[in-house]
Amino acid sequence: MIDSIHELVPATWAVHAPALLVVIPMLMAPIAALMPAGRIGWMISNFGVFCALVMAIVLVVAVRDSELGYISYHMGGWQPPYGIEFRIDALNSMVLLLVSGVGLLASIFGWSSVKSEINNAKISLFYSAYLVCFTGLCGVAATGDAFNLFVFLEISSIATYVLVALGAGRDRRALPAAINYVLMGTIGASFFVVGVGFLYAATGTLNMADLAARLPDLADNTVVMAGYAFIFVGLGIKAAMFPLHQWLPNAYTYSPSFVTMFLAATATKVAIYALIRFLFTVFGIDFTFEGLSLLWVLMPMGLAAMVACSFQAIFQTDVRRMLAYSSVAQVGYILLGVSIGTAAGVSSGLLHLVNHAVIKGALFMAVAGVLLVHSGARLSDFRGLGRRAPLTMTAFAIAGLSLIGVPLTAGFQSKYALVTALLQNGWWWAAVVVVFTSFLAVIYVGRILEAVFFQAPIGPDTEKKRLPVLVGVPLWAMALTSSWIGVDGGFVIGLANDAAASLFTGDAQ
Amino acid sequence: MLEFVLERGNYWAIIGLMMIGLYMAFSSTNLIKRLIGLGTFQTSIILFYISLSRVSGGTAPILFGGDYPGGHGGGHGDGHHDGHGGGHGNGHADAHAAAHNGSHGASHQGEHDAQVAAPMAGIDDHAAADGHTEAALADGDNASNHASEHAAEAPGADGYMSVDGAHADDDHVGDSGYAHEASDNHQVTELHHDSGHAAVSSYEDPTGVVSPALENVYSNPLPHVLMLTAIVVGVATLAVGLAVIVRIREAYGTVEMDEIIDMDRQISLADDAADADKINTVQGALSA
Repeated sequence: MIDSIHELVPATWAVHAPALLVVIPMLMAPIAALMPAGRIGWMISNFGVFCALVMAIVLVVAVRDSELGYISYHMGGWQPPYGIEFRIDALNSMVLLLVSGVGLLASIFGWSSVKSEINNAKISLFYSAYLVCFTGLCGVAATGDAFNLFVFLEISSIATYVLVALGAGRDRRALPAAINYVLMGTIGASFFVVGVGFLYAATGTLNMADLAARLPDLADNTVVMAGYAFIFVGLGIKAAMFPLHQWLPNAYTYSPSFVTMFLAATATKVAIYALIRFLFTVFGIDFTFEGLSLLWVLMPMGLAAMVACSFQAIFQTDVRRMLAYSSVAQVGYILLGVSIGTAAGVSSGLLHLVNHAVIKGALFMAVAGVLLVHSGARLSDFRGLGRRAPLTMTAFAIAGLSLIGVPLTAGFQSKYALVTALLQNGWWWAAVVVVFTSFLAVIYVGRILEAVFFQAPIGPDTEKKRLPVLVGVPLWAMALTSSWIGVDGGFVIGLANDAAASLFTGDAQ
Repeated sequence: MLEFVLERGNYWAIIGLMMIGLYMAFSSTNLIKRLIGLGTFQTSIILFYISLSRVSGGTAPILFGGDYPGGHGGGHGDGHHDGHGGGHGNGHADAHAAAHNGSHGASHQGEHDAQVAAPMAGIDDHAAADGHTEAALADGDNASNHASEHAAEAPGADGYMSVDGAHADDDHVGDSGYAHEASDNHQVTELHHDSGHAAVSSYEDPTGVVSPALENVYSNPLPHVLMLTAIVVGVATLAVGLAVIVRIREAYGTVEMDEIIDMDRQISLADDAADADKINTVQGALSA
């Protein structure tokens, strides 16, 4: 299927796909802002994101067919070390496909959800901010220049702060959540840029491939080590790595449903991508200091996130907050996979990255559907919903089982890959923790499912209400995708394996 | 030790400013003060980049005939980086200031690496230790053209090359683009390598002290450009932050974070209590 889409795109467009992927949504953003009616803003947003998705598909095919294993796009025709390069390899193209795919579903789903939660006069502006955020995330994933990555990271973050704060229409607690996110996020990005400054001081270049070529000579250099530490912590904040995740639960709980869904599925994933890019492409696994940090920082933090945040999730009374803590725990799984530092480990981390994006997207969409049609998103509001909203809750249950990792779901595929990689590396105790935290997931997902299917509803609201089609379709698309990955995960597993392989064969040089 | 500290005054200032900013951003309960702290922190980063951009002895990246386009890769491949450049380079106030900059700025542009290649005679602990550094050192008696021959040979030499058994102390250093001929009485002869020719010019001060004015301090434009971008980003972040604070003031009537947290906690407790009530009512109704 993806090949036929590739053939439909004119060759001149395909050549510029890396740039168009970022430029089209960016140009759509101001146009959407000028539209008087939210409806037109929604259409423009869909158009922009759809174009990006097509370009992402073109890139996936082009990367797969390319001889070098990557596509290098020179912005403005300047030669790479001097000009800005967009370099798309198997890893980027996978992340771009994920972001734009989830982005399109989110955008379609926004029709009813945004209308109900955002002031009518601001809907066009809301989509404009969403497009800017989307642009930034795609830019982070596409660029091959370290400083350019910072700029895109901030473009997406600033738009995200605005989107989170817009939750204030429903709950004023969105505002403190947003300002916390502003503070933490900006400090994270600033740390990253200090780290890039150190690398620039040591090597005199900002191009990632060029950095990758130069850094091995400087492995013992303290400037490079300091730069590594700053970048690691900075991206760790953005990716909600365990002790640095404090901004996340409130931001996910109080922002508009649309934003929660989109952020949970993409924002932290793109930050994790950036972290992986720096760990394995720019510094390279042979950088001794990195090996130590993987073993002594990333792995313990991953395990701590899995255990601590799964426990925290169990005790939440708000479903969105519960899922937010679960997200931090899932970031722990991804980082644990990455910290193994082998192709199999990184591949399992990437697989979980994709699967978790799909699963959490589906879960938050289902919660958004509940918020839209029924009363609220607290656990007590979910009681008896199985009878009143059977379709929504079935999709929720599919995604919830996938989150636990029941066989035949996406979550099982990635946890299986993760445990296999852990055992190959001899980290049997980490595998035990993975299984243990999966049981914790059984408890917190079980609490919701119990309320939904086995408890009597509260209050007089007992009649069935129809879920708007534009929420139901993306929700089921996500839920079915997660089952499809679980049953026949060949496509996604292939993408993740290719991506991990591209990191370890060193084609960046 | 004291010298080490003083030479890097700008970096200490930056670190201080950075810590003050971070402390404000975390410790204050007033949201506006927190944003001011954030602004201070970002300003320190801008100053950090600007410090990096001062390259002693660099020149504008103008390509000469043979330099284009392969210079970059080749020059780099030879590994003529002393690496610790950014960390130390710019703190040096006078003659030895030229030391470490080879790695950023100039060497990035490629033509220095490829053509001039000679390089960084860093006589500082790091430079001597890392083995990537070639030193062209000559005794004060040597004529400058003598030094130029050796400078030309320098790329081939591995490690530390001393001429006529001359030994240099910590004050004498050269860098890419220049080979400093160092002598005990602080006379420095600089050799300009321009498009492959060794044009010789010498700056000597009768007092034996090299005037800072003779230093060719070059401002690499790239970090400035990067910081223009970072300033725009910082202003945008600050604007969004202040806008959110205005909304917080409207919604909560205060900008003190601890008061806001208190209010939110009351709301959460009330929500939980309401939940418990509702559930009790339902269960009561069921059992009745």
